[in-house]
This record gives sequence, structure tokens and C-alpha cells, in this order.
Amino acid sequence: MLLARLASWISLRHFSGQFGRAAVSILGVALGVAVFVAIRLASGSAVTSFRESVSSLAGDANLQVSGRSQGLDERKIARLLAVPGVRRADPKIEAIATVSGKPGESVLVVGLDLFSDLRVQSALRAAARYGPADVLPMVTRRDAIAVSEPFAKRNGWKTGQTVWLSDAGRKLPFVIQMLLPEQGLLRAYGGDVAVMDIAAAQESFGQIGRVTGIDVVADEGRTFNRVRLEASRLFPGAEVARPASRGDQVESMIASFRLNLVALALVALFVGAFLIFNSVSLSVIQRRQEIGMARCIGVSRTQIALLFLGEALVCGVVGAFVGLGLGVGLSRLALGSVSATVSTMYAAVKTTQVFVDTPTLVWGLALGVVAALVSGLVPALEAASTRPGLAAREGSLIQGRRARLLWVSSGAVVSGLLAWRLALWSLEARDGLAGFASAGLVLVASSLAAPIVTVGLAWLARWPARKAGGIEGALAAGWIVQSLERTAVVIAALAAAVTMLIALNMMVGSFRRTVVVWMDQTIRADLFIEPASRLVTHVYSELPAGVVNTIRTMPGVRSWDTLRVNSVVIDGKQADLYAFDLRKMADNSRLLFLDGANTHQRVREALSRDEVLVSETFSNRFGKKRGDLLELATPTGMHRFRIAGVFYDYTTEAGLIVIHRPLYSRLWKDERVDTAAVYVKPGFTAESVRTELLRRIGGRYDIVVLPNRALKARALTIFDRTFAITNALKVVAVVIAVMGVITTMSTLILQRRRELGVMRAVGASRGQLARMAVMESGLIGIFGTVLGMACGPVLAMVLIQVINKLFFGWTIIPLLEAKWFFEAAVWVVAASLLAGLLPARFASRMQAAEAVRDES
Amino acid sequence: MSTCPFAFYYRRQIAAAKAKTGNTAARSCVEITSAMITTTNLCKRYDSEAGPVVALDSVNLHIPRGQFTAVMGPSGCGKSTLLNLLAGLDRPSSGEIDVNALRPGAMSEARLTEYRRRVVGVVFQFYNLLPTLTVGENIALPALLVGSPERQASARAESLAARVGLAHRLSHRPHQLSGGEMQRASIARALINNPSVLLADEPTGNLDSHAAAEVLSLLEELSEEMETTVVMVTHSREAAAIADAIVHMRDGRVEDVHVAGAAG
Amino acid sequence: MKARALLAIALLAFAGIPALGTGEGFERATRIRAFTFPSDHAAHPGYRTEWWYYTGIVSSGKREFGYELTFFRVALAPSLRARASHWATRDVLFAHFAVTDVSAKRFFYDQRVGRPVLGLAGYSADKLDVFIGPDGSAGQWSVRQSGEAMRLRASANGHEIDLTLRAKRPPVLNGRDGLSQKGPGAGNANYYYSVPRLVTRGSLSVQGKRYSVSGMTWMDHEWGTSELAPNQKGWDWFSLRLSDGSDLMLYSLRDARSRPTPYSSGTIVRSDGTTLSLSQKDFSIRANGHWKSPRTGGLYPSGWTLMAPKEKLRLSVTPLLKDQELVTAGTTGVSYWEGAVRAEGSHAGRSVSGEGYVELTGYAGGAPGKALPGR
Repeated sequence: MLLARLASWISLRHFSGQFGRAAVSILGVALGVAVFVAIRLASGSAVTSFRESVSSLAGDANLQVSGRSQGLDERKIARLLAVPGVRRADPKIEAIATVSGKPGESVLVVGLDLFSDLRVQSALRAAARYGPADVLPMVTRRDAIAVSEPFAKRNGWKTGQTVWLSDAGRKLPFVIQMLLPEQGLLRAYGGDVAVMDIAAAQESFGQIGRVTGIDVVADEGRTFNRVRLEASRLFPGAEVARPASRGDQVESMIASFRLNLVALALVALFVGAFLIFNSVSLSVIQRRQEIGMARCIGVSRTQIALLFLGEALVCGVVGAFVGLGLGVGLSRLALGSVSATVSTMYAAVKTTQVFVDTPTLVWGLALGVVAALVSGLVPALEAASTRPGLAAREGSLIQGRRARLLWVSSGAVVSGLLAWRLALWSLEARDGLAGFASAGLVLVASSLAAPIVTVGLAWLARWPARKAGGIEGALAAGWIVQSLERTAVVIAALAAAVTMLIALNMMVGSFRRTVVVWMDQTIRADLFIEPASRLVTHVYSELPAGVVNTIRTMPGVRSWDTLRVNSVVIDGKQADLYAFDLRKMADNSRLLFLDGANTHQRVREALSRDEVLVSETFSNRFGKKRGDLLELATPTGMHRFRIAGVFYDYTTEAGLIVIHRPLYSRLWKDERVDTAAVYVKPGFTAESVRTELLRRIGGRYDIVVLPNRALKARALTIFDRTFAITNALKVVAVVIAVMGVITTMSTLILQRRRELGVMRAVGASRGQLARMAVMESGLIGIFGTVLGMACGPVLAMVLIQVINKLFFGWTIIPLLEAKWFFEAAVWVVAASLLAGLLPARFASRMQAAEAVRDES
Repeated sequence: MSTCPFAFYYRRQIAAAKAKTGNTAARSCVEITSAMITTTNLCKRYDSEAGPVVALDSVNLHIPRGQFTAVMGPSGCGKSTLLNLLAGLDRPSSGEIDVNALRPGAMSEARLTEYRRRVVGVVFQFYNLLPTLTVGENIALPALLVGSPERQASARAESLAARVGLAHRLSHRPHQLSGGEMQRASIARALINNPSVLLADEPTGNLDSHAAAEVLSLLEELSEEMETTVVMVTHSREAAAIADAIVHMRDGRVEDVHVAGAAG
Repeated sequence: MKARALLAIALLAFAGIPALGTGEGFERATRIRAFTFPSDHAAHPGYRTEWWYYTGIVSSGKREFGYELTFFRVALAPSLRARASHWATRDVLFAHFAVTDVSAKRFFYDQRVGRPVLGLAGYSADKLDVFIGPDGSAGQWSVRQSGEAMRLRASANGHEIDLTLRAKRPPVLNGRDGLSQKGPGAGNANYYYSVPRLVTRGSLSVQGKRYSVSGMTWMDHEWGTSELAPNQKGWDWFSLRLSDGSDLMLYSLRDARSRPTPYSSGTIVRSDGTTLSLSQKDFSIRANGHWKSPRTGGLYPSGWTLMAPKEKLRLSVTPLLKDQELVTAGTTGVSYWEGAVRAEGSHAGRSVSGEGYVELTGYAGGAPGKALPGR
């Protein structure tokens, strides 16, 4: 086919010659795709692990009744079985226990009716190798436990061994009766599962009278919904849903978190796309003659365009594939941190492996290819417009530059204005996608502004460059403008990277600062008491009554309060429910209300009318404000609550409802406690009270007592971990941009051979040429940084005021810290200078004679 | 002055010059002498895609001091190669080049840089001037590269510019000049460091007859004024006409050397 | 009957929880006691193991069915140590349900386990009331006193029974006035009675199709705390109702070489109500044919000749369906044959025919002895 032959004539021959440049473009796309894939896979794997865990535990149940924090009344199971359409209803106790003495090691303990629960049959049948003496105690003893083989192996446990597990602070001994292979329900929670008889589990984990959940097998078809309704009626306030929907819920909970990470990854891809633009443009320039000749002999414009587009496509496809592989590898690195974040904040999950899902791979591939095609389009079209003939020269590039500059710069202005409008509109219409589009347009605007900004900065830099670098400096600055078509692209890429760097720094920094300030104002207790298992997950973590009693009678305690955490579902979305003594809170601490109201006043209102308080994120997410009504399903039926006030809160993006503890206890029939807080009497130190408290609690419980500082520090650690991944993104973007500097500079030097040859001829030394290359790289770095510094805060504001507000709803107080700018400047300029070393070497090694050899 | 690296070589010439001019103060060696060029069995071979090419085949030349020599020959005869070797832009495969007792063929890269700065000045057919610098900056470029103080270099550039009739173009950019003006500026640039040799590779090749005549007469005048040895590669017989001697080359060899009339 | 105890062990093993222990703390069947009915139909929680066993032949017009429903109670410990959880249970209940559709040549069986807590299963020590599955649930299996009659209910996978049983004759005490010795040593015995003839009426469903049926049911009720003798491969157990009004119960405990052991025994109830105890030397059982199970590969005797010369009894017994094998899914390897049978022969000089059930264990795969304590 003619096109193929043309391709080999024009493209391939040069391709192999330009391997370095092609490799760099491929790498640019690869990194962008890799980051995208890694984030999606890591977070997706966390969800998939959770789903698999749920599914392993659920067995063949098609309906699950979950009791949230308050559990389900065990006496109603018989009634549930009597509902027509219910074939099986298997109760279970679920608890996450930590291994005493091994922080961070946790196991999911499942209590089932060992006689009749089919889920455990196969596991126990595998235990046929055990004798009756091992199996009978499982039902007759409280401390009998069967552990999964992998978990036992990891901890060096054997049958007959006594091990200590902590749950909700209680520390209890258990005797291992059997080791079970990792299959069926033993595959949940990453394989770290232990099984007990339901009676033993109830006694061990303080769940007398209730079960955590019931797994139901109901007839499908018309009766299914009736069964669901009946179950909801029998267990008000409980969650009644298919097993799959629990996974859906977790997925939707982390959706925002995930989406934003992915968007950031796309910025890296954006920067990578610049490299392709660069690469294709350069190849167009180099082959200008050949294109002219080809046009002479009758090759059409479309064919030329397709040829170069094809080059871009090849880079994109190869880069995308490399990126996929890289991404899968990177996802393994990201897995631990992402999984820990999800587990701490959303749902107990252990992600041990990366689940590679095809949609992510397809998306990654598509993104890489599309980015390549889009960025290759402009140079391809430019190549197509080459006039036929041998006289095609680079000189013609200068012509029309003015016009092009005008077009591009006005494009920048238009993008900027569009970004502004879109930002405002997206807030009104609550359109997240529009918010992202607005952020994207900011980047586009900065990229389009690069040429004119470069010209301006080069003009400004003339004198300083001359003063600082002599004639070499002046030449370096001049060259940047001379090759504006090339340098502007690289400067735009650098600017994009710097913009992202600064924007992320600003957003995360502002957020962090806001959280710190908020914590200082609202977290006032001297000591916080919680079960050790809370470190692993907030789910299933309660404080035993014994500990609460000890606190009650502690000397040195001026005031103390407890917190109960539960969850509710409104309009199909889950929100958290916090129950504590509002009066005590108002006396010792405060809530910061959106309308600035006084805490005491609001609390008084709330108490007098049995009202609740909600967080800002709740208000945002559910569209409720002060005075609105909330209808909540409780074990005692549906109840209506009016919202007495909206307060600032940074605990969860799902939204928080605060209710007075006595009211909660009454309506939810729940007296349990998750954590406690203590205010120390004057004259006592927090440390002394802490020591005394720990002494009184003794070895019976696995409790953590955190001083105020430590709690705040831990919150910040979790915060930092959540955003740790953005650091990786920053690095990737900068690396890609700097790669662009190297390739562009190398090609520019190649293009300027004649000039460089002349300079050598008139007596420039190698060192002087090298210095000029480095200076030019440095200037490019500086220009890119300056442009980035201008756009960074703009993007930061979009992130803070638009995207954050749309997806999460926090109020973040924007903050500008000089060090974020300096960090960006130093890194990028230094990197650019270093990047200039390679081309400089190249420049200095050039053979002068060849350089000046005539074209004839 | 006293740090001229080539002082050692020039001490005999310095002594002679001192005797001639009666000037006992030591002056820049290059300022007081014009160079004599001798090549002995000069060969240049290189590999191309079509096989090994012999660009110069045992060239033996002697160009006396101050002589204006034109080198002519058909395409591919090796004249440009010869010029490149003389300019220190390339190295010979074998044989020797002697420029005023200096051996550019055997010099280190650092020495060659100095050689190019101080001993020779080069004018090419095109792309002489750097488009990003003004005419004045272009002319001053070699001096700036040497490290001369800016004011001194600029002053010298100005006077040279005036000398070649471009005083009014000092702050213009090369793309604003005509072809002839560009070549005149190139000549000025080539002379700014007072070289003892001026090498010109088809300086009028791209110019119309009027501009060409201007440039040629300029070359002639300046070389006489400054006692510079000039080697000019050219196709044009008019250009060759102003030369003192014409060297004909073919296939890498010197065919014939024709000395015109009485030396100027 | 000793056999039932072994079956109970087997079924417990199926659930993974073999019962064991020395029997300390439980009441033992050491003395002859007075039986009162209907109160003795209820559970006797002081003893470790107990079962209620019902087999019957019923028909609806031309269609003939056999059914079996057995409830077991096994105590895991003499008493429940004070445990806080309401799920902690001292006993476990099992049930076993089988239906033989003679005309369609189909055999169906299912089993259930239940924990008698929170209304999910239960038994009563006051009256006959054993159930697995909560009241009101469609799948509840139960045997309950309903006025003068007993009511049986079970359903699984489209097979259902809802039968009312009325006794025509008083219960028959087996062994020595109801004390049935299982092995050597005092206390190694069960209390054991049968009700051979219960008039049965009600409904039976096979594969979703319901039939109004009537017929006769045999009931066994046994309880005790007995140790089981070692060296047992299995047993053959027969319960037959004869057309002359007499009933026969025989079992032969086989050793490793398939020879009957001394604890084999039987009971004949004559039409006039008198009973005769048979010991191992008083009767013989000879297999006439065999049937090989395609599932387990076990070779069961199929068709027998029973002879009790003292009683002038000679019967030829034929299964109504060859394949009435119950396989307990592979793990414990205990499979056995329990099926409806027909009898022909002579008794005390008269020609008789009969119907009943036969149970054969130890012919396929692992012997029930696998689940014995100490092994």
C-alpha cells in the first residue's frame, strides 16, 4: 500500500535514527498511563477485596440483614424463618480482633451455628482429619476457636495453643482447636479468618442477645421483595440488602476519593502528551524537505497528515502498553497505602493482591492512544500544509508567527474565561464533570499562554541574561524566542507540571492547615480512650463497660464523655451518626457552626426539642440545612428529627449527624460506647491521669489512651497518608516535563548546527557552547516555573472552591505559603539545568567541520 | 600581550619586526606579523556511504605573507576542505599545515580554539551572522568570546562597522540586511580580532554583481591595510581577478598556481 | 436399639460434631422402670441419647409409598455450665426424612440439624413435641402430640408429609420389660418401646404433587446412655407387620466377619397382645439376593429369608424398591440402606403377608465404627 511504503520511506528510517526522542515520548505517555492505571487498580482492588470478602462470607445467601452498630435481636430469627419465601436464615457474629501484643495484626472472627450453617460444613469436613476431641469443644467451650491456616502460619500458631485476642478492648484467651484451609468463608478478609460457634462468639465478644447479621436465602421472583420488606419490618433500622449492594456502597463511598486521584493522574498524562506533540513536530521539521518532495510527486495532504498521525499513534500505542505494564506494577506499591486508607475510614478490608480489571486496562490504553492522537494532530496538520517543492525551508516558520501567536494567545484568554464561567456554573448546577472541565481549561489556558509569556519573559530576561552570562547568556535568551515553536511547547509542559505541583501543595496544605486549626478549636479533651482495634478499623470497635466504669471513678477527672458511632441510610446514601452528651460537649469544647452561632445556644435548642446537629459535608451531600427535617430508621421505628444547626467538620465526607446520647440510647436501644474522652482536673497532669488509668485498667483490656497531641498527630498521619499518593503524581509530572526539556534541547541543538558551527569557527570553545545549552535549559526551566507559579494558585482555587466543594463539601481556607512556590521553583529549575547537561554535552561534541559543511 | 601563547614561536619574527619598525615595545605577535601558509603533502580522507573519499590528495602549497590567493576548481575538487583545514575546523588525515610556524593540524582542541579566535578569521557563503544578535553584536562576537571587555569590543566593532559602511546598521538584525550588507558585516566580524589570516569560502556566491563587487573591493582594501594573508575559495572569475595568485585545484590536487602580475 | 445409637453417632459426625464422652453425669438405664403413656412419649433429657423413629407404608389408591421420619436428640454434656449466650445448647436435634415412591421407583431423603434454642428447634420433657425449624415456618419438621394422636410433619424439596397417627394397640416394651441391653455392664442399656401399629391418615407429596394417603406406621422410641461395644461392622434390622395381626422386630448385629453377635435380639407381638423376646439363637436371617449401590459400591443384601422356628415363623422379605440407600455426603463415609419391604410366608401354621421396613448398615464404605469414641 502506498501509505505503508511512504511510511517506511519517510518515517521508519528516521524513526530508528531518532530512537532516543521516540523512546522519551513513549516513556512520557507510559508514565501518564501508568499512574492512571495504578490508582484505578489500587483503589479498585480495595473494593474488589471487600466484595470478595462479603461474598465469601455470604455463601449462597441472596439477602443480608445487617445490624449496623446496634446489632439484631436474636429472638426475631425464628420469626424471620417463618416468613414465606425464606428458605434459610443463618445468623452470624462478626468481630475484628487484634492479636494481643502485635499491633496491626488483625483477624476477622466469625461466629456461626456450627451445626446447621452450611458455610462451615465444607471447612469442617476438611477438618475430618481432626478427632472428636478437637471438634466437640467448639460447641461446648467459650474459648474454642478454629483459625485459617495461612493466618496461623503467619503467627506461628498451632492447634492446642492458647492465644490472646483483643476485641473492643477486651483481651481474652482462646484455645485453637483446628486449623482450617483457606476456602469458602475462610477466604474473607484476605484469608485472616477465625471461626467460632455462635454461642462462644457471643460470649467472647460481648454480643449476648444479638447477632451482627443474618444471611438469608430467599426465593427469587415475586416473593423476594416481600421477604425484604418483612425483614425490614422485623428489624427496623437494619440494613436489608443483597450482598452485592454492600460492595456497591463501599464503592460509592470511595468514589469521590478515587475520582479525584484519577483526575490528578490525568494531569500527568496531559504533560506526557506534550512530549508527543514535541516529538511529532520535530520530526515534521526535520523532514520538511522530504515532505515537500513527496508533495511534489503527488502524495496528498491527507496522506501526509495520516503519516505523522501514524507516528503519534505508534508512540501512543507502545507507550500505552508499556504504561499498562508499569501501572500494574505501580499499583502493587500503592496497594498498601490505599487499602489502609479505605480500611481506616470506610470499611474493614484487607487487600492482598491487585485485581486487574479489564475496563481499567482498556481505559488506560484508550487514554494513551487518544492523548497521542490529539497531541499529534496539530503537527500532522501542519505537515500536511507544507507546500510542494524543494524550497521548503525553516525560514518560512518565522513567517506567520505573529498571526499564530495572536491566535494562540487569544485562545488562552478564551480558555481562561471559559474556565471561570464553567467553574461558577458547575457550583450552581452541582456538576462535578463541569468542575473538572474547568480545572482542565485552566491548564489549557496556561499552555496556550506559554508562547506569548515566553516572548515576554525572554524580552525581560535580555538584560539580566547579558549581565549574568555575557554574550552566551544573551544568545541563550535569544535562542528561546528564535525557536519559539519548540521551546514554547516545553515551557508549557513545565508550566503544567509546576502548576500541578503548586496547586496540589496549596490544596493539600490549605486543607491540612484548616484541619489543624479546626482540631485546635474543637478537639479539647486531654485524653482519649479507645480500644486498640480502632487503629485497624473503626468498624466493630467498642469500649467495654468495665473501662467506662473505671473512667467514671477516676480521680483527677473533671469531666468525661463517651462517643457512640453508628450509621444511617438516607435516600440510599449512608451517613455517620455520632451520639454523645451535647451538654458536656458545650461545657468543655465546642462546635463551629456555619452561621457562627454560639455552641451553648445551639445545644440548648437541640436539647429542648430533641433536634440533631449535622456537619457541613452532610448538609452538602444530602441537601439539607438548618430547620430541615430528617427521617431516620431506628430499631424503635421511624423517627423525625429537625436540624438545629450545621457545623464545620472534617471527620468524614459522607456526612455526620450528631445526636444527644440519652436520646440516641432511647431510640436505638443501644447503651454501648465506642470511645471516651476525659478532661483533667486542674492540679492534675494529663500524663499522670493517663498512667493511673492504664494502671487501673490493668492487663484485662487492650486499650489505648491517647493524649490530645497524640490524637491530633494520628489524625494528621491518616490525612497525610490519604494524600501521599499525590506526591507520587507531583514527581511523575515533573519527571515527564524534564524529559521534554532534554529532548527538545537536543533537537534544537541539532537544528542549530550551522549556527553552532559558525560559533565554533569564530572561536567559541566547547565549554562555551555547553554553557549556552545549559543556560538555555535553565531559562526554559525558569520561564516554565514562572508561568506555573502564576497558574498554580488559580488551579488551586478551582480545586479548593469548586472540585472539593462539589465532591466532598469541606470548607477549606485557602493558604499561600512561600515555601510551596520555592519548592516548585528550586526543583524544576534545578532539574532543567541538569537536564541541559546532556544536550550541552551533545553540543560541545559536535564536529565543527560537519556543522559548517555546505548544503550543496 | 605578553600572554600570547604563541610568543615562543614568534620570537624570531618579533625580533625582525622590531628591527623593521624600530619599535622596541613588545606588541601582540599577531598584530605585527602577517602569516605565511605552507602545506606539505596534505591529505584528507573520510568515509562516506559510497565508500572512502579522498578530498585532498597530497597538496603542497606555499602562500607568502600578505598575499591574496584565490582557490578555484570544479565542485568536489577539495577547495572547501582545504579551507576548513586551514581554519582549524577539521584535521588532516596526513601531512602538515604550517601557518606562521603554527601547526593547526597537530594542535589540541583548546589550542585550536585559541587559534580560531586569534589567528584566523572566517567568512562563509551564508549563515554567517547569528539571527538573534544585532549586527553590532555579531561583529563583536569573536571579541566577546575571547573575553575582551564589552566596551572595548563594542568600540572596535563600531569602528569596523563604519569601515565597511554599516555604521547605520549597528542595531539592526541580520534579517533586515541585504545580502551584500550581511557579507560586509561578516567581513567586519572576521577581522575584529586582527587575525593574520582571512579565509573566505565563496563570499560572493550569493550576491548580485553590484554587491559582489563591493564586497570584493572591501576584501582587497582591508587585507592590504591590515597586511592579512587572504585565501579565498571562489567560482567567480571576477572575484579571482582581484587576487594576487590563483590556485587551480582538481580532484583533491593542485593543478596549477598562477601568480598575477606584480605583487601588490 | 443399639443401631439407632450408632446412627446418631454417624449423623453427628456428618455435622462434624461427634458425641462422645464417658457418659458421666447422665442417667443410665440400669433398672426396670414403669412406663406411662402418653408422658413417656416425651423426651427424657437426663439420658444422653434419644430418638423417635417412624416408618410407614401408606397408599393413595393404587399408588404406594413408604416414608421414614426420625428425630434424634443427643446431649453434648450432662448439664449446661452457666453460659451467658442463649445459643449455648446442651443438646442437638437431628432429623431424618425419606420417602419411597414405589410406583415411580423413586427414593428421596433429606436430613436436618437443629439447635434447640430461641425457638429454632426444640423438644419437650412433658409431652411429645420435637421439632426442627421454628413454628410458623414452612419447612418445619415436627412430631407432636395432637389430642390422642401424634402428628408428623416434614417437608423438603417438594416432598412433604403431614400425617396423623392413631395407635391401635398399646406400646410394646422391648428387651426385658423395656430395658434393652446393648453391651456388657450394667447401665449399658437403653429404655426401648415400640408402637408397631399406628393407623395413619393424611397427605404425602412427592415432587410437588400431593396425595391423600392412608396406611400404617411403626414407631420406635428409645433413650439411654450406653457405651457401644467395639468390633461392630453393622447391623440388619427388621420391623414387620403381618396380616395375622402380629408384629415382628428383629435385629442382627454383625461382627467383622458378618456373623451375628450375641447382642442381636428381637420381639414378636402376637395378635392377642402377648409378646415373645427372641435372642440371637432363636432366629436366623439369610440373604436371598444382593444389590450393589452404583453410588457407594456397597453390596447390600436384597431380599431375605427370616426364620424363627420357636415361633413357627418363616418369612420371605422383599424390598419394594432396590435402591433405598441413604448416602451422607462422602465425608464420614457412613451410608446405609433403609427401605420399605414386603413379606410373605407362614406364621404359626398360617399363611401370612406383611409389610414393614428394613435397615442395613455397614455395607458401604466406612463403617459407623469410624465415629466411635476412642478411635
